[in-house]
Amino acid sequence: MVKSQSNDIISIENVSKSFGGHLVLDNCSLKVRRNNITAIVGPNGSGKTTLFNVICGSIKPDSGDIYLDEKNIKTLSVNRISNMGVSRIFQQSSFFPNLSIAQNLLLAIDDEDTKFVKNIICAEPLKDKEKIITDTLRLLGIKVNLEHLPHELSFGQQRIIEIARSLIKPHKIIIMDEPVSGLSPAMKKNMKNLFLQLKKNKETLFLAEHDINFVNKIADRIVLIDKGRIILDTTPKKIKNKSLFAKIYLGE
Amino acid sequence: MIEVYILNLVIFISIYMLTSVSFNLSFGQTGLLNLAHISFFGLGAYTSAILSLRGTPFFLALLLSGLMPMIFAFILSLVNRKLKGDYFTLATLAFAILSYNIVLNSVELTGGPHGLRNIPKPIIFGLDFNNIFLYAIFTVFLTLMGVFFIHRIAKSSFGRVCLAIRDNNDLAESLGKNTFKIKVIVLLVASFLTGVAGCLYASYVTFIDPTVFDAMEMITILAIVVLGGLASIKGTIVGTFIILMVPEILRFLDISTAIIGPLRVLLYSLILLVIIYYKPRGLYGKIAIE
Amino acid sequence: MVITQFIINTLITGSIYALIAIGFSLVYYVMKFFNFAHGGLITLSAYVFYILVRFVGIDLIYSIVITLLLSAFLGVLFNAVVYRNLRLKKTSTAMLILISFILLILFESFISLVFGVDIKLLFPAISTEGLYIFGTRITYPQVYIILASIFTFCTTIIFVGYTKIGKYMRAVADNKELAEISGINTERIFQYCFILSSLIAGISGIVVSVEKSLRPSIGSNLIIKGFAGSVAGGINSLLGSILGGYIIGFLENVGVWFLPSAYKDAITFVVLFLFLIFRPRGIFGDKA
Repeated sequence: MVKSQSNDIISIENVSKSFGGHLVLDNCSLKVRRNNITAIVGPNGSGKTTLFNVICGSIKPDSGDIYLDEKNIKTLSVNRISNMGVSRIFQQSSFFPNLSIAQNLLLAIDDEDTKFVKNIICAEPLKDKEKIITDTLRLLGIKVNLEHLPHELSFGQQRIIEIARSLIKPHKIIIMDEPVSGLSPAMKKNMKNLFLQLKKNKETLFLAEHDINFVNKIADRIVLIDKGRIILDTTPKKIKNKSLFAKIYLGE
Repeated sequence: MIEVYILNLVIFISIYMLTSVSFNLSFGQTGLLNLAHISFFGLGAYTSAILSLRGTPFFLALLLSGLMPMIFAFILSLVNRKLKGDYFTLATLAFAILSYNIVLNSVELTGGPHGLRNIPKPIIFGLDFNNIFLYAIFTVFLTLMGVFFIHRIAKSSFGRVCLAIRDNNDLAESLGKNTFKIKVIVLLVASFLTGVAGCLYASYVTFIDPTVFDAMEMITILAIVVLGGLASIKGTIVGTFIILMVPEILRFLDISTAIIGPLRVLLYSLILLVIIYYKPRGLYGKIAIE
Repeated sequence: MVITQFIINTLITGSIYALIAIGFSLVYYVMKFFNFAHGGLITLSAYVFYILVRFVGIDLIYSIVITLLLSAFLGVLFNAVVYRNLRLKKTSTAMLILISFILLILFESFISLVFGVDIKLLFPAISTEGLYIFGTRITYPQVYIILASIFTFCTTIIFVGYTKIGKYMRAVADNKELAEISGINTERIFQYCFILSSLIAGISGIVVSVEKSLRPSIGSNLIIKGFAGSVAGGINSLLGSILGGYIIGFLENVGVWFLPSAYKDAITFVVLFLFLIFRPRGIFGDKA
């Protein structure tokens, strides 16, 4: 019997997490659909990053379940979940500071590099790997000197390289924590077009953002979170009531 | 006579080089500050000494000297499973200092403070390695093989993952790298080669005592690697030559042998502190110690 | 009676380890780094006390005072010269461990140079008369060791718990940034912390000198036992560190019944290792 693939790549069910008595995630449930851009919006401290940490495995939930492709990933390690197809972009620009951009990107290509014996005996297929990198960078329309170290790039360039990295890495979904925060309006416009292009290329994006206007322009679904609770799970069209946003952002 | 002096120096430099290049793989390249690295050396030395004194053929003793420290390397690496790097360093520090005491006090097995003497020189293929020239060639050969092996690792994509782990362990994990597995492999390789170095030492000097376990000797290895520059094999090689010149210079200055021991450790400690403070990249390092 | 001997041995060993543990973990508690050079200071104090009593021939009381003053002075010096600069450079915790290890070895090699590597014994300069309790002998010096340890524990806990400076120390320990914003001079508090910790190191050194035979590496060995005690009891808890020291002392004395005495130190390592793997916060530590 052929099992039809569900529409949801990630399903979070009743996840709760406390830190030192403080409830950071309160019975959260949400589904991330394939080939969609899902955005989670909420003020600082509402639990967005914690939710991402729980999905990616760096934090274990106190209760609830997380499914990736219908498999329960609650107890899996970070690298296991990553290898199941989760690419992640962190809130803070995250690189290997002493390695060149080229090396940073080469590390994302696959995990053949963790095979000790194979790598002592066989040479690395560098030509093929470099092609993947240059193709991806061309797709994103960015030109950088690959021998530069990460700190030599501008912040905007760094963010795009991080997106390149998450695309290069074999993945089914890219989770992004505030990808456009700190970017100029012009850059944000570029990113908007980029994300829409990615969606056309059948990517699945799950991003956390502050900028509601940005999110409204690109997201298929918007999830509102506050104080660890999912308040709203809807589409941009249905959000006409701007005062609801204001109420949450300015606090109750 | 001068040839004996030079060959003696060559042998010592080779042994220290093999030990230090292994340490550079775990510390400089992968970021694992394993202060028990010297214990691996000691384990290799004592394993080969005890086995040789009981008549074990040399090559078997050599192999077992490499394998023995791997057991302890694996146990220590378990600390890396769920805890941050500092915990590993602390566990290795405790192991280094406590194992010295254990060896110092266990008289039946290790001869206690008096150590073991009259370790037989190796006889391989019928050649008696009592001849210092043959032994030097043998030692240099093994050292070059070991250094070449580590060079292969360092330049490979596996080596790149090691650098990544050093730079940003969490990011490496989120890119799908099983950092625990890699750290275990690195420590196993480093401990094997260092154990072999210990065997070469024991068979050459034919007398060992607990000082091969002494945490003070860790300073020599640290000085070599930090002076040479982290993650730079060339740096470690050059560093070995420079650091091992210090006791020779002291000997030349007619300083009494009893003092040379602690004096050179004192000097190495000061050199280390100065480099960490003023020139964290050492001579050839692309990475700063920080 | 065997059991009394056991209890006395445990009390003596445990007191020494607990003394070292509390001096060591005080610095970790307030300043959040592992100061292994503490072991070097203990060794130096032990040797200085030995020299003063045995060779210079100064009365016990004055020797104690001089040793403590020297210890406190050196501790503050190290903090001001070495550690403060490292703090300003925002050195990583791994590097701080490395540097405190280098300092520990520096102390050890210095002592080897100046005092020689041969083993030194303070007896017979110290009397070995003692009491008899339930048929077991405990010497007067050993009684003083236990009393001095208890005195140090109580003083430290009262100081940290009830004095103004102690309150500031706890504030800095809980949240350094918040303490700074509240107007506490953290550098000054660090200095006080080091003075107290170094005094404890001095007391530890004197106690060690009285009870054990000295060799240059003794401080390294003891600081690891003190460290293990702190981890077992709870690295963030002063009371826990004291308890941890006694636990290590207890387990060592139990262990020598079953194992050859050479493997005594293996017990410490196994305890430390198990705690690190299974309960790094120790018995009384909170989940940091």
